[in-house]
Amino acid sequence: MTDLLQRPERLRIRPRVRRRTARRRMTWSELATYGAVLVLLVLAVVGPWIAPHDPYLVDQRNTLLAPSGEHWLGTDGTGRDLFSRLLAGARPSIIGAVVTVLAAATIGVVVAAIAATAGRVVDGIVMRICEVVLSLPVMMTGLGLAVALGPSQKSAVIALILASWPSFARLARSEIRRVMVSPHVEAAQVLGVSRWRLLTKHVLPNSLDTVYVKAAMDVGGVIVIISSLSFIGAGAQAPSAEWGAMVESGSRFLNNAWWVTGAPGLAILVTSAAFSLAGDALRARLDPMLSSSLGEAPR
Amino acid sequence: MSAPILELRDVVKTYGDGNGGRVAAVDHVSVAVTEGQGLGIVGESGSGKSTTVRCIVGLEKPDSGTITYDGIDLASASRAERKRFRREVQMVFQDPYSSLSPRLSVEEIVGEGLVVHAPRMSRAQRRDRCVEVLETVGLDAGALPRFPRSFSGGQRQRIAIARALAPEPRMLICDEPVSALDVSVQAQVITLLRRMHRELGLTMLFIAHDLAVVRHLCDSVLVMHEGRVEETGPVSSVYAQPEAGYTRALLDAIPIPDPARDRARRARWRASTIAEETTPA
Repeated sequence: MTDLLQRPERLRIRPRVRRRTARRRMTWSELATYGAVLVLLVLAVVGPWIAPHDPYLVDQRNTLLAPSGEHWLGTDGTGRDLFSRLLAGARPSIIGAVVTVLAAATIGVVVAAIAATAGRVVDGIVMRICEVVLSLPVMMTGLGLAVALGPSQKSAVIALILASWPSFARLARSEIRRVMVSPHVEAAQVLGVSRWRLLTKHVLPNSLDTVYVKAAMDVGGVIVIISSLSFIGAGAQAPSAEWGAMVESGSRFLNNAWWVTGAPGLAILVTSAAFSLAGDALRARLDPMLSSSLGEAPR
Repeated sequence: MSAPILELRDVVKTYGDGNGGRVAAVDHVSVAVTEGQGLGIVGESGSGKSTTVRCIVGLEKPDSGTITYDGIDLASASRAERKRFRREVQMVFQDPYSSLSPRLSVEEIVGEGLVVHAPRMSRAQRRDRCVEVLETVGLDAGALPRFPRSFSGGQRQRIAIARALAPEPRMLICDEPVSALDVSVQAQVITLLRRMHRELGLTMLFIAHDLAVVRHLCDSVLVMHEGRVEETGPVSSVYAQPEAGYTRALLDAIPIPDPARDRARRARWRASTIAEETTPA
């Protein structure tokens, strides 16, 4: 007792710390997922340059070769080297999905900021529009729009941006509205901070965590959707090495050369899983209590 | 007595009660505050004291009534007048954990009022001013690059006070600035606020549900109950001879830090309650 009284600092109650990001060490699984995403992104950028063969060089004498030392993953129906095509296809597949998600998230946040600050009428109109788009599956809206725009990789990306920004807008709006009434924002209002500065300096930095997480998790889903659109002919077209298109063109040889379809299919699976897991790891790191407010990934 | 710097006349603020009716959180409140005065607003939870203050600083819009600050009618103020009001009237919030943005450094938090109200100040001048106010509240330049999370509750409230002081306000509104702090720290913050009041000549509005704190800090007091002003006057007379029964009840609820006197007071209460119950109505 006397001992405690002599050292009052040991009795002091530690202040409650509300830390947004826990400073714990990265686990191996987190490192692995972030690492996988990083490797994939690097491949998407440098892929075409490090490809051992020309991904578009047709060689009719060497079609449907099985994997070997010369052609690591074999060749496809027109004798093109599959490994080189996978590397070349990483760019449209991965960068396409990343661009889609970044654009959709940006549009969503801007729209949400307008809806949350412009008053009830604007808010009501904007959110009803979002709900109409959200009531349709992303795949359906994306397919319809991509076909309407004329099937190409660019159309697929634009279509998916148009189909997926409302889910970001809804998420961001609810977060922005929550932060807008928090005491530190009210304090800034009392200081006389302008509306623009209030939004950019005080509200958005504190409301975008969930948006970052949703964006990271969505990339995995969007890769699958973009590939699906290519597969059914609404996205990237024939000579392109986009993975979905490769799966489609290889499906004719499924009986005698499974690797022509299997290789790009596996690439889609691995990439999608890597981005989803990285998003999940990010979510767990940013806020362990967050999981329920995330909404669903696009179907 | 000079003209009041802040005057509320018949301010009413109602909220929907969820059944189509209206509940008055602030019910025809009229107050006048003179420059340099320290006014304590006391009352239990839900008595409308916070809402009154939120109406003054513009976080709530009153349904009716007028609020005048130094000749400016806040409802119809021009842009320049509103700007002046925003600089001259500052506020310290109740909870220092949620009233500081976790994403901004102390320098950004304290300097925010300067960015807004003294845009021509250079970064270095702003930093100097931040250090100056931080030292006034008992912190130092070492706090500048740090974030709120690395400070204790009492230190955070000092940062919040520094933020309010940075634009050199004339009036400081404190909404229960110590009720989220533990008792040992409360005293430090109250002493600091009293020093600011005396040394800087700040007009202070001080909300509390604790009358003992108000007695220590303010020269006059306004007692609120269910949205109405129950009693108002100098601290000395209200505390010595409360006119409203509600004020007396509040005063009786202050614990006396002397067991013998406290026991005696409780014995008096019991006697008077029994007397009331046994007297035929």
